[in-house]
Parts: sequence; structure tokens; C-alpha cells
Amino acid sequence: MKRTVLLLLALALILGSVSLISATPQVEEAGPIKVGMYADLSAGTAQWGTDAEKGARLRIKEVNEKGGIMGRQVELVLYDCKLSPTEAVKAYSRLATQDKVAAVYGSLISNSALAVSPVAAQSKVPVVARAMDERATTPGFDPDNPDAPIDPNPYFFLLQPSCFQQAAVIAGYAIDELGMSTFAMLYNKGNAYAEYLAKGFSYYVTKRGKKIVGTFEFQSGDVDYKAQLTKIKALKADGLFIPNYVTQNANAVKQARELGLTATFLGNNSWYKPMDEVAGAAADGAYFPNNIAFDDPSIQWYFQKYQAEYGEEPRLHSFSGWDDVGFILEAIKKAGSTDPDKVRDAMEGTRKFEGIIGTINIDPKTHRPVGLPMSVLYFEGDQIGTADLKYIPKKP
Amino acid sequence: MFYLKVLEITSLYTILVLGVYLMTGLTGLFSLGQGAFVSIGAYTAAIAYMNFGAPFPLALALAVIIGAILGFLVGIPTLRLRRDYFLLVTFCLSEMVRAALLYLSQLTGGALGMAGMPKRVGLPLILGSIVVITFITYSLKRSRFGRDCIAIRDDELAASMMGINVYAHKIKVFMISSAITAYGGALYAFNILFIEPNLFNWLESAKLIIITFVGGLNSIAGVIIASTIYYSFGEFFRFIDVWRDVLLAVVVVLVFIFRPGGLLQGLELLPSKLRAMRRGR
Amino acid sequence: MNWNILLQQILNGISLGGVYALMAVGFGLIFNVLKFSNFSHGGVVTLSAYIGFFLSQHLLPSFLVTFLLTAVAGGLAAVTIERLVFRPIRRKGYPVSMLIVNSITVAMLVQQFFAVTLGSDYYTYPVFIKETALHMGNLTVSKIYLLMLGISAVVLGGLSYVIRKTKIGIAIRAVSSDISTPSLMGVNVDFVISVAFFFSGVLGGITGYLLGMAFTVDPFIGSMILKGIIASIIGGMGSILGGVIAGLLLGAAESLLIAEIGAALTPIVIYGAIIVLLLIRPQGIAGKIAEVKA
Repeated sequence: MKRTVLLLLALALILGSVSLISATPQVEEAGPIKVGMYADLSAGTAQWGTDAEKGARLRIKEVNEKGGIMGRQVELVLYDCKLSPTEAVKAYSRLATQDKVAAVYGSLISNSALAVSPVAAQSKVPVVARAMDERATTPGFDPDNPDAPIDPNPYFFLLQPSCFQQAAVIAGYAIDELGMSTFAMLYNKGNAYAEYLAKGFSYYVTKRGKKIVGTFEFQSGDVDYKAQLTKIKALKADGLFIPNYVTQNANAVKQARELGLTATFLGNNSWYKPMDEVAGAAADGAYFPNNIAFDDPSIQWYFQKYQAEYGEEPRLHSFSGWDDVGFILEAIKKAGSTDPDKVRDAMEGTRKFEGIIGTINIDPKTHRPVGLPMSVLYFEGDQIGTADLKYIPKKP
Repeated sequence: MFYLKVLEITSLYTILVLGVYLMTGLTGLFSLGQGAFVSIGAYTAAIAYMNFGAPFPLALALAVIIGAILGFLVGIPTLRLRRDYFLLVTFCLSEMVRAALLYLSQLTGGALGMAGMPKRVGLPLILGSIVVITFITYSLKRSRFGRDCIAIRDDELAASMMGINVYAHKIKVFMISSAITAYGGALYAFNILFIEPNLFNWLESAKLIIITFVGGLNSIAGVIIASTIYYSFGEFFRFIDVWRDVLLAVVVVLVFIFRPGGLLQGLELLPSKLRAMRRGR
Repeated sequence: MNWNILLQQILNGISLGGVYALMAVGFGLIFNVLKFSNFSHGGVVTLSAYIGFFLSQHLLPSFLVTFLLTAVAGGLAAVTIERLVFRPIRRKGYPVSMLIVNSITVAMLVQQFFAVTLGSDYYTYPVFIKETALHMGNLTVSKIYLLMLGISAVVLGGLSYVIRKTKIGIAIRAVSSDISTPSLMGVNVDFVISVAFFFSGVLGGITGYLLGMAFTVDPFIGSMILKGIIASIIGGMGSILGGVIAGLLLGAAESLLIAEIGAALTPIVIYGAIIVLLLIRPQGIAGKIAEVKA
């Protein structure tokens, strides 16, 4: 027994020294190009994380089959950040300082992005993520004054419209195309993504002269919202904005139907599949903004490619994996190097990058794409259809 | 470079485990709420430094003091309760603290946590702290104080009949433990540089208890080893890191069934004992 | 406030309380009878939610059949846990605190196992009930919640009868107050304890299935059970009825508080109130003071 203890200690010592010896140099000139990725592969949003991973790997496979970048193969270094901002920070630090990747494809979760953002500014390895909260890319963002110019975080990039922009899409659609004037909101205060979508929605609605008649929160672990929904029903709003994660949105919708709420549901881009399976017919009549419309003929090639590789239909974040890693690889190619600073500069200067979600022109002032339209989808029964392929809301 | 970081993180958690060891391993107090003290220590130090401009040593000291005071305040009414009630009350406490941290977003940043603390805590401070805390714990364990703890753990009724003021003793232990845990939290804030209300939920608190048991109730060395292995495991065995908690659970159950004294069966890795070991073989 | 809304909120609360009550009953069986907090009940609930899903999705889309099968599966799971984990510890005569720690460990094992293996898919039960709402005039209530409440009541009555009148029930009671004497009188203690765990597991299976139907199946359903455990404990040691009542009150309080002060402050108030309650009246709502067993 006592020998076992000594053995264990010796083992630990050996492991430690081996790893220290195999420390890697700063910028490698040969060998595979390393792209880092941290995603939520377990815990509540695990499906999004694994979808993103599949999209990423598919892109890398295609690039590698065509000879890689600058003659080198691309390698993905992936960590699970378990829906925890703390784990995301640890994962990013490891990718930046230990694995010495050229760039990082980060988790789409806003809470995690907000944690990683300041660390990225210090470690100087650029991060590309779908995290929609404005503060990830522009840390000084003030929700009460959203149009004021602020400096971006030099090492963080967002490849889709941000919270306020996406909220404006659905709010604008509801006001102009659906003729609504009164709205209520039900969101998870503990989730930066949901909170900023709600703030954005409220900002746009109020600026257009319409009314938010009630704002209701719930906590992260809650599954029952009947107390809030009963009050919402009494307010008789035209539209109910529910911008949370899939299971929360589905539970809210099912319970709202049970209570006999007749308001039209308005969602966020988490209403895309598998919301149709999870919420079913309870979601009937809902409208939500989305990055892609799945019956868009110009993107069917990706559906086929993905289906051939994985045997299933791509979901929203499978597109993200493809686009964002493609964006990173394009930047590396333009920079002609894996030096993170050069890659970052190339990213900031990216114009006309053709992604599945559209043509991406990075605005160097915000590190977000400029002029990227979204689709508006809707639910008929438990089927999702396209209401408008490329919708741009009126300016308030 | 990176492996130093792993050592830092592992050692931080080990401090927390040591705090729990004193109250759970030695004295038999089960609390699912130590996470609350981690958060309180972390936020106290962070808020004192960031919002009120307190110098770093003062921020640390404040965390420890507030941890001890809160340990006292919480302990007074709750330590009279039987074990599983105490477990439950401490769980409720940790949920209350979490909700309060989320709610007071003006002060604490709410769900987005607090960031921007400078890295004032490095390996020397952490390892130094472990040495000091281990020394304190060990001395306590060997002293009359520690023997009273063990007496209480094994049989409270008998202990009180032997003249030990069980209630007062428990409060002292709880205060010390809470202070250590809060200290660990403060160190965390200035090392990982990011804290949020979900930092330490009841499951993490439960893991501290579990690791204490695996290490062995009578062995500080065992507890340190168990903690080191668990918290650094993920960094070395990345490909099965996702299974880490499942493995821990399996190991724990096996240890309980086959090796209930813990990994080291109550041994302490002392120079005198190691010498005895060598002579014995 | 509008009376109609108030009534609806109370109804919301009580029906949510039905969910907690069902969890409390399952947990309470072991808690009241064997006097230890069996946190692995959460693991049984989670496991059953998944089993119920797979049975109804891939085997047979019949509510009744899969429901019963899942209940039995839950019972077997609980017995397995008892045999593998609790019995060896009990046999060696260790303090009850060891049992508690291991029960938490099992709960963690189940949760993390599912998080790693199946966590990345969304599982929804087939739609067995087309219209899940029951309308009573202006008020609505969820049928599934009512079902949970109803089952709790039935189980309560049934358990009371079994514990008081049947041989196995008396044996369980005997074992719960003294673990060694009954064996001297010819009672097979191990068997009795296994039976108790089986019943508790069946309740866990039912809970998991209904929770999976009402919400969606995910690895963290077991954490929801903590509220049920809290209800059981504030209901008082020695009284399963107390657990049920506490569950209903908890649900009602939560709903009304959320409606009044919002979901951000509610946990602070509720958990604070629970702490105060346990301090003032440690025997809970309906319990008797039991000697310190754990």
C-alpha cells in the first residue's frame, strides 16, 4: 500500500516532466496549421456545440482534401467548455498559451464569450464566435444608447448580426408585416443572449412608437413559467417575445397554450430546428428571425454535403461551424502566416467573404458584419416555413 | 508554462478541499453550502478591490474576515440541527447566495460576473497558502481540539458526555472552515480573473465532500493527493475528460466498499512515518 | 388584484406543487422509513425519464404500457443501487453519513453519465395527450400536473395502508426503528430494505416518466428533484403526508411569489423561509422529533 503511494507520486512526477519537455515553440513554420475551438459539448446546449463541431470538421476536411492552406494540413484542437464561462476561459487560455493556435473558433454562448473577451484582448489570439451579445465585440456597449460608436475588442469577431440587430428584425417584422402594437417579453435574466435580445426588442419597439406592456423574467433552472404567463395573458398583448434556449422556449410555448394565451409568439434564432420537434404544434403561428431559410435554393449544396457526411440534416450551428472556420482559414491564407496578430489583421480587413449565411463584410469599427440580412421563418402547425427570405427592418 | 497553470488551478481547489476537510472529514459536518463561502470570499475580495479600490492584501483579509463572521452567523442557528437538516439548510443557503449575487447586479455584475481583476495571485502565494493551511489543519488535528473534533464525528452523544461542548466546538470549526474556504475563493478571483454566480453550485460543494472521503477521513495527505489527482485529471487525460465526474463517482463507490478508510487509510506522509516505512520493508 | 387571476395563480401553484409532492413521496419513503436522505432518488428519476422515452419511442407508443414498464424499471434501478452501493456500506456498520455521501455520488454519476452520452440531443415524449389543458370555467390546469398530484394522493393512501396493515409494512417499520432486533425475530432485514427501495424506485420511475412528458428529458431533471427533497424534509421526518403537504405549499408559494415579486427575488425569499422554518421547527410540519440517526 505504501509503495503504491510512492509509485503514484513518481508517476505524477514523470508525467509532469514529460509534458514540460514537450513544450511547443511560438509560431511553427511547418507541420499542421492549428485552429483552436472550444464549444459546449455537454450540458444544456450540447447539441449546438456538437453541431458546430461537425460543421467545423466538415470545412477542415474539405480544405485539407484540396491541399490545405499554404501547403499545410489544418488540424482542429477542440475542448469542451460545458456551458460554463469559467471552463471557456480555461479552454481559451490553454489554446492560446499551450496549444499555440493561430486563431480560435469560440462557443456561441454569450455568457462564455463575455468571459473570454477580456482574456482574448490580453492573450492576443483572435476569437471568432457566434455570440450575439454586443459586449463581446464592443465591450463598452451601452444598451440605452446602442448607436453610439465604441471601440471594438481587437481580438474578438462576430459573424452574424448581434442581439439588437436580430431583435430589430423580428420587432420590425411584427410591427410592419403583422401589424402589431403591444408586446410582452418573457426571458431568462441569467442569460446575456436572452437579456440583450429583450433589451434590443424593447429599444426598437419603443423607438417605433409601440408599447412594451410587460417584461417578465425567469431563472436559469426554471421549467415552469405559468405564474408569469398568467400575468401576461391578462395584459392581452398582441405579441409575446420569447428569446431563450430551445427547451425553455418550448416549455414556455406549451404552457402558454395550456393557459389559453392567444398572443402571437415571436422568437429568436433558437426557434429553428429542433424546436419543431420539441414544441410541436404548440408553436403554431410563431414568427422568428433566422440566419438561413432551409428551403433557400442557393444553400442546398451544403445540405447535401452535410447529409452525405453525417447522415442527418444540418441544424443552425452546423452552418456556423462551416462559415466561421472558413473565415478563419481564409484569414490565415490572406495573412500568409499562422502568427495570431497577422491573422487578426487579416480578419479585420475581410470583405466579401462568402458564407452560407450571406456575404460577410467585417466592419472594422465593430468587428461585426455590416448589412447582413436575415430570413424570417414561421411555424404552421409543427412545420417551419419561410415568410421572408431576406428581411431588413425599417430604421426606427 | 501551461502545466504551471494546471498546478495553480489544482492547488486552488485543494485549498477549498482542505477547508472542507476540517469540518467534514474531522468533525463530520456535512455542508452542501461551502460553495456559498467560495463565492462570498471571491466576490468580497473582487468588489473590495474593483469597486472600492481597496489594496489587494486588504481585499484578501476582508474575504477571510467576512467568511469567518458569516460562518459564525450561519452556524449559530443551524449547527444545532441534525446532520441531514444541516445539509439541507446549507444547500438552501448556497441557493440564496447564488440568487442574491444574480439579483444585486449593480454590485456584482449579475449573470455576467465580474472580470478585470489583475492577476495578483500566482503559484508562490497559492502553494505557500497550502503549506500554511496544511500546517494549521495538521496541528489542529493532532491537538486536543482535533481529538474533540474526531470524538464529535464518531459519536456526538458520547462526546458531549465526555464533557465536550459539542455546539460551541462545532461553531469554532465551522468558522475556521468557512474562513479558509472564503480565502480560497478570494485567491480564485485574483488568479482565474473571472467569477460568476454559478461558480460553485451544490454539486461542486458535494464533490469537495466526496474527495475528502476518497482521500480518507483521517488523512490530510490522502485528501491532498485525491484532490490533486481529480482536479488535474482533465488536463492530462483530455480525451476522457468528459467522463471525469462519472469516473470519480465510480471510484468513490469502489473506495467506499473496498477501502473505506480512504486512499491512504489514515496515513499521513510525514518524514518520520516515511522513515518507518522504509525500515519496515 | 383580479380574483380570477389570483385563483389561476393559486391553481398554477398547487398543480406545480403536485409535481413536488410526487417527488417528495418517492424520496420520503426512504427518508421516513430508513431515516436517511437518499439523494440517489434524483438519479432514479433521471434514468426513468430516459427509459420511458426510449420505450415509448422505439418499443411501443402506448402510454399505459410504457408507463408501467418505466415504473418497474425505476424500482429495479433503485434496488440495484441499494444492493451495489448501500448494502455493502450498511453491512460494514458505517455511519449513515457515508450513505448520504454515496447517494449524492450516485446522483452525480447518473447526471454526468447522461450529460456525456445523450446530453446533446433533445428528447420529447410522443404526444399521448392531445389537449393537455383541463378547462374549468375561466381557469385552466395541466392534466399532467393533475395526474402527478392524483398519483401522490393515491400512493399516500396506499402506502399508509401497506405500512400499517400489511406484514411487509410492519416489517419495514420494525427495521426502520431498529435494524438489528427484527432479524432476531426472524425478519429478513435485507429483503425488507430491498422492498422499501423497490417501492421508492417505482415512485421514482413514475416521477421520471411524468416529468419527461411534462417538460423535456435532460440529464438535469434530477436537480429539479431537490425541491421535492426539500419538501419532504420540511414536511417532517416520520410523515409522508407532511411531505406532500409541504410540496403543495412550496409550489403555491413559489408561483405566488414569482407573480408578485418576480423570479429574481423569489429564490431568496423561499430558501430563506425554508431555513427559518427548519430552525424554528426542526421536526417539520408534521414530523416527530426522531433521535439523531444521521
